[in-house]
Amino acid sequence: MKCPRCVQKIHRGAEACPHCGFCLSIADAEFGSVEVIVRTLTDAAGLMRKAERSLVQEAIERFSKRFPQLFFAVYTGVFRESACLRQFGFWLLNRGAFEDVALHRPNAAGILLVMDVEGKAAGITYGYLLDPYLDEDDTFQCLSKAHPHWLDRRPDQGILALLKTLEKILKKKSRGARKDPKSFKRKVTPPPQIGDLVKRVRSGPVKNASQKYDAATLAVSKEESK
Amino acid sequence: MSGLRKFLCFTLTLLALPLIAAEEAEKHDPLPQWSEEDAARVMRGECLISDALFRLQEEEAEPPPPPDVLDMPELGPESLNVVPPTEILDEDLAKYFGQKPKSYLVDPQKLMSRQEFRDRLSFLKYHSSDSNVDFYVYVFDEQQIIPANIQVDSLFAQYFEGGRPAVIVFYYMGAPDRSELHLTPELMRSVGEGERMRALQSSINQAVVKSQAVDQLDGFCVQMSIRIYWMEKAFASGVIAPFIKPEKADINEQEQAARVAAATSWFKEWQLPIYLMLGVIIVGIITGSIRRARQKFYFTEYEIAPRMSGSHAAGVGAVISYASAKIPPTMQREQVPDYLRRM
Repeated sequence: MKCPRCVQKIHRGAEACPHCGFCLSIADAEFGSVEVIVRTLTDAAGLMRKAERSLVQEAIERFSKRFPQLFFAVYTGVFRESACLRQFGFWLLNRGAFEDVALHRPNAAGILLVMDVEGKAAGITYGYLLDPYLDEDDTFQCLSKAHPHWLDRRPDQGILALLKTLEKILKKKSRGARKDPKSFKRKVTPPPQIGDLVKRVRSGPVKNASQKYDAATLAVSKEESK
Repeated sequence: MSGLRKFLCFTLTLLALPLIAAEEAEKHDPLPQWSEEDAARVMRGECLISDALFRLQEEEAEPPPPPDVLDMPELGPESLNVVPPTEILDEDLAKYFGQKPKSYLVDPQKLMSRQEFRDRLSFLKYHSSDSNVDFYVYVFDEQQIIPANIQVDSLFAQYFEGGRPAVIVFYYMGAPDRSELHLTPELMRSVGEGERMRALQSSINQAVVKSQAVDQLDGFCVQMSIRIYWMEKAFASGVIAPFIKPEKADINEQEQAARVAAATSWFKEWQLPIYLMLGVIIVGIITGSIRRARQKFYFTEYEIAPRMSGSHAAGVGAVISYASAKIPPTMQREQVPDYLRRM
């Protein structure tokens, strides 16, 4: 988990970035604090032709059918020097109201691709639901598949390639989560509080692997508290 | 003294100049003479001097004579008489088949250039000097057809009687697959039909891999020369080639028919299970593909504490630049903090 502004690692549940102090209010000051209505495909930069847009829209709909909890959105714009992709993506996924997305799919289940047409850069931001299933390397893998198409000035083909790779990764993660849910849960479970751990230790001896993990975490926490 | 001589020469030249000019003027056209009427018109401004001069010249210049109409012969139906591509002229046919060929390469129609002809002929000469079997090539055009009334084999039997055995090839430029192979009678007895066909086919195969017609002829001749070597061996041994026995073919056919019948009976016996199995496999593949296409993927939702006050999302993925085609994507992965880059 990284800060959208300083790209430094931050801990779970941080109210603001401990390194640069970035939080949503700072992004609000930059982009606005009111909710904005957008669609899953918002080609604000006019990057794609009508046929290309419909192609991408169809792919987005297919993605939504394949993953009933999730949605994929694309925003293309010109970001000049006043903003950056990560911050904008973070802000849009928190402040954006996607009008063509069903209500049972909250923004927390969204994956947003932001393309800076002038700066020729693209970035991915995703909601909390995908925190255990996606990481930076996965998103980079998707972007690198789109890279040659974007270099070739075929934004639609790039997005389609990206979506194809993303689908593959998410399918794999979904199957993996079904087989071994603990490994994914561990990624997002907040660190146990010392009081809770003490209670657990007192309640009985360590029996299984998960309890062993908790004991190890307790030992680390104790050392940190010292 | 010399100075005085120079002075006298110069003076004489000066005096002679008007005389020379007058002579020259006599040679050329006389200067135009102004009439009083013209002068009055010029003074009145009714005409320009240049007009008068040019008009004078125009009047003097004779109009060009009308171009003679060339007496072109009218095109009659006989002038459009073009030889069809399949036909060989009688005079050429006489050169081909009128007598025993004088050269190993027979091309009375001049289908090859002189240099090409010489090159191929030198190869054929070399072959004949090295082999006991002569090799003659008759060159025809791609679509030409030898008239059916010409009895080629009897003609060759007559021409080559008592001489060295020879292989005669009718080669059609650009269409090596139309080539024909003829052997002198004594060689024909030694070389079986199968061998002859194989020789011809392998030579055609060597020819067709080339694109140019002349190169095709080269390939053909080289391969045929190699095959003639084996014909020569058969001829030297005096072995008469065995005829392909029809019984053998019958046996093969019978065996084949038996096999086909066995396979058919086996298929009839197992027809239903085979069809069932195939049907099950096809249905399975179709069902599987449909199922895979319709498969939906779900994710377990965990409670996650919001970060940086974001109520929905704070998952920061990668950022990639696609500004340069020369640098690989990994080098264009942007890891630079934004406040250092742009803000």
